Amino acid sequence: MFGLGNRRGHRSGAEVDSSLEKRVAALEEAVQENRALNVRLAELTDVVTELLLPVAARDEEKLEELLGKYRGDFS
Amino acid sequence: MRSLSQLRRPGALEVLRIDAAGLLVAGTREQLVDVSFDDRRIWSFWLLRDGEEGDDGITLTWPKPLRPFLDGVTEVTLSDPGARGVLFSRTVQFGERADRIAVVNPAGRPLSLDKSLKLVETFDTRDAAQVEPLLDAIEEVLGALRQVGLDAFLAYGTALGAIRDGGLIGHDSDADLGYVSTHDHPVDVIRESFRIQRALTDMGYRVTRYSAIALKVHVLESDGLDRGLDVFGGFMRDGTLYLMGEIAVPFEREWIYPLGTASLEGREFPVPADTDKFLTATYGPRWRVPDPAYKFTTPASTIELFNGWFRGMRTGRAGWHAYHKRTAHHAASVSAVAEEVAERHPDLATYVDIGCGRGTDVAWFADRGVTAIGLDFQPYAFDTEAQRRADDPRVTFQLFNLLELRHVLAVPAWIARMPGPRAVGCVHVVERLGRRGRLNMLRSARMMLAGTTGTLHLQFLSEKGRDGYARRTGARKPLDPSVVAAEVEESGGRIVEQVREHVSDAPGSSQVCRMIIDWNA
Repeated sequence: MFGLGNRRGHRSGAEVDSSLEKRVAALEEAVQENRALNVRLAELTDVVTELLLPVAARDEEKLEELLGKYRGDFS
Repeated sequence: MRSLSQLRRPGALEVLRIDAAGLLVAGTREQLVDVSFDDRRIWSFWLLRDGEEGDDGITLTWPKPLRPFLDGVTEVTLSDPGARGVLFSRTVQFGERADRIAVVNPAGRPLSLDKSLKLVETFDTRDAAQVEPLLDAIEEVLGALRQVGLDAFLAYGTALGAIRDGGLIGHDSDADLGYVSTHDHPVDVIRESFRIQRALTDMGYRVTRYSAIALKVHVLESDGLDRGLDVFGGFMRDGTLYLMGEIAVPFEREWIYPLGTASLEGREFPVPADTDKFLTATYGPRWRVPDPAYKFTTPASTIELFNGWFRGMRTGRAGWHAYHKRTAHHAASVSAVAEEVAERHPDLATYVDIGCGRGTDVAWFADRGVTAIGLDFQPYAFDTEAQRRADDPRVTFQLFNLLELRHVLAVPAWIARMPGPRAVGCVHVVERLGRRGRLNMLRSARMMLAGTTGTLHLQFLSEKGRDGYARRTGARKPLDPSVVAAEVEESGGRIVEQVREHVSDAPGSSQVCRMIIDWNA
């Protein structure tokens, strides 16, 4: 992962620099992807707590109302 | 260009040229300059930072929003907002008109450039009677936030103005509030922001989300103006204060809470406990020196951090707003996709248009007796049709953002309960989406169609011609059908039919790809 293979073998200074640059770029991309998981997890948790629990309660009328209310503040 | 008079003072700025293109100034010393037209500040710049150095001097180009106004006569004054006063003044003729230049909005209200170079109604043009409604609005939103459990305070320019000058900053144009959550993890802070938005909506406020922890709360001011107050979320984690969207610095909670107060235009408002530390964190140690041309020098690492954690929900929305504004007067026509769906599903009960734009297809289906749902993340596009169809029980328009998972899960859950057969159309949307948005589109279509034999009908630009079609439809650029095909497969779907056709017989015309997709295999 993250260009670990580049560490192996004998390489010139320039090659090491270039591989390091690539590995840092790959790492930066991976860090950004991981950071974005915060929003995904919060969104998912919000849906589960606000909508899925009423679904489990099998209250049809309440669910219809909640689905309407939940999408009501989308902006 | 015609020079009618000139006033020079000691320490003046040597202006070599001033015309519709810009200013050419001699000098090499960095300095802050206010530009006024007929004694009213219009623009501020840092000579070296904002100018371009050439052999004959430093060139400053008029910011783009100002250029349409540069036709007429005005007295241009360059001054030092600090001690040195007027540096240069001359009456200048721009263009041909003999009238005085008036930089105003259609309602005649004076405009000037703010620090982001947007032409806005800045506070220096508002008199006391006009400031009162804003102060009322700040008080009201702070009160509403307190009701939902948040001790919010003045932030950014509003805090700076209150703490430094006891008033609104003349060259500022909006009011900013902030809060520091009791949570210390981004996930919890985001969840709290969702809760706050719900609570404020319940209280009757219109709230717009700008990122996962930044909201705009709209207040109808007592003068009838709809004003949006920005509320920036923040939190402390491992000794660092993070305040959306510029601050990530070592900090202590005690420097924020318990809040102190500062006077703003004669009224007391909450501000962080240690105002010096807070303003230093926001604007740097020189926060006491006024700078109308201030630009945040937020480190790239902080911007990246906030981008990763909280941003990315509104990508493309401004572009679609501009598109709909530009094309609102174009003739509306029903899409080939709508006709294809109607033909394939004569017994259709529910039609969903993802990215419905103005809602032409939605209205067309409703008129055929079909329940029609228009989804778009740019409500500006469908507002007119939604109003026109307000009493039509078959039509619903819903704000729907493919970049927000809450929308992608909850809206299809609502639609999946509607009568079948259901079909989904999506016309010239995917070209403007990234991979995440496209996968979310497929995920939501799959959920909307669950339990029926319905299909997703997709149309996108596959080859851009020289016929203006890409601009006319808002597609902008083509998308390779093989990319879409791979993502359909990834979503568990299959392409039932696929056609590519030119949009006209003219040579060099654009080509669109239409796919019919299902998840019934």
